[in-house]
Amino acid sequence: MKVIVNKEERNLKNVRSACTLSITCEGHLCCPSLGSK
Amino acid sequence: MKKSNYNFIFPGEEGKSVLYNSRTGAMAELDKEHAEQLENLSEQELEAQNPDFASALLTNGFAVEEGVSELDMIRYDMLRTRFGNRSLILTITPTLDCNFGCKYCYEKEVVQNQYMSEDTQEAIIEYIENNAFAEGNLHISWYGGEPLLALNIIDKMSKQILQICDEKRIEYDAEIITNGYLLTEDAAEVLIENKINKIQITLDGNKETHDQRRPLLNGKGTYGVIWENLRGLKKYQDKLWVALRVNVDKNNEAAVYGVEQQVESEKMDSFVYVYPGKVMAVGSCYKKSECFNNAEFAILEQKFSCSREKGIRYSYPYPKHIVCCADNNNAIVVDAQGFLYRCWMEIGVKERSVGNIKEIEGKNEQVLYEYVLNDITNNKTCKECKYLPICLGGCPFIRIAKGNNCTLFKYTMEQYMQYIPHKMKK
Repeated sequence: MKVIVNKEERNLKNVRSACTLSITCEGHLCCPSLGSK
Repeated sequence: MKKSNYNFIFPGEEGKSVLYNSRTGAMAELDKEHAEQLENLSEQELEAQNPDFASALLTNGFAVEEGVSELDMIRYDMLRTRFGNRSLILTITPTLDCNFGCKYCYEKEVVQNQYMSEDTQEAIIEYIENNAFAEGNLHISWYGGEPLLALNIIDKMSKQILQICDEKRIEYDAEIITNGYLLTEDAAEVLIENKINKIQITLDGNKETHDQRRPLLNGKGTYGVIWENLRGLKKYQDKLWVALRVNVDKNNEAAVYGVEQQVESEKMDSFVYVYPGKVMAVGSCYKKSECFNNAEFAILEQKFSCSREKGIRYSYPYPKHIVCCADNNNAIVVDAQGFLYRCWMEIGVKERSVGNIKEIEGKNEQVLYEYVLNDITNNKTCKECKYLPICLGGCPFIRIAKGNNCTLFKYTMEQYMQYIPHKMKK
């Protein structure tokens, strides 16, 4: 088995990234809310 | 051990298989023998016949210990992120005024020539002083209206905020959502000075398309000025990151490709990231018939993401612990009058306000609860869904208005998996 992407570290560091232009958040980059503005 | 309920298996390159787990985000490549073992052997047989493989499955979350509920793991991560984090997140609208007259704007009804008063600014600063976590994180999003119309307010407040962060050793980061028209080099320098280094700008295609969709209030085009400003940012490319959003609907389906090409030809792709945004018809702001539905938009987004060489990590199906700021207990949106909201889609809609920055407690708490008390892991349909960890019920605003709004990956996971493993390996 060759791991391509490691499992996410389950720690609170992820919280911070959840509010920025982040890859883990529905906000901003993929937020549908901003689509109409 | 037991196999995870959140495993997906897809055909890979050279007869191999791709194993992906939506709860942990892990991805691995399996040869034919291991893929067959995973599919055909029970957990006990796997542990007995191939303990190394069984151990690797466990380590990477493709299997979990017997007796552990994965649904509880998801719920635990969701709740501790929602209520237990040390990040304060503020979306601040220094003005609801705007210089644009975008044809699909959902804020049409609430845009007004009103700027944040000194009283309100002071109340926000006091709120940050009292609520930001020492040695934690503070994130500010400047929003509008058009926030650069109030650059003086942004400058003044940011300096005060930076001082608080310095005193309390708070890690600070900030961004601005702007139409880009007033983003001159002078304005960019003010932003950089205040550590506002992420900028979202919207460009809807070529000159003709963009100017028709996003003109000034007087109808004049804005494409040329925005591009001139973007070029002016080149000299700050080590200090700024630009998310260039292309709002798409049935009228400008291919626009995102043209914008991407332009960015590449201007050699700006090192600091400008182009991506499609979905135009939504909220209330009467736009015709629903002109908008893509989720499945249509998902396919458009997937084709675009997979067509390019870079940036696939932005499209990777990482697990979520919260959906966005709206369901995060430590996040709040403040409008120019100091009214507070959970979601920026509700800015200016007073009946959805959860208070005012000068009087926070006990105001329309039910709206707050609608956002932060929803437990999607108890939803009859969602708790059985393999996409739950990367979805969590989708946009909370839409969930409240219309019900759960499944992740777009539901429509395109298989297609993504034809590209992602190869590109992630590079």
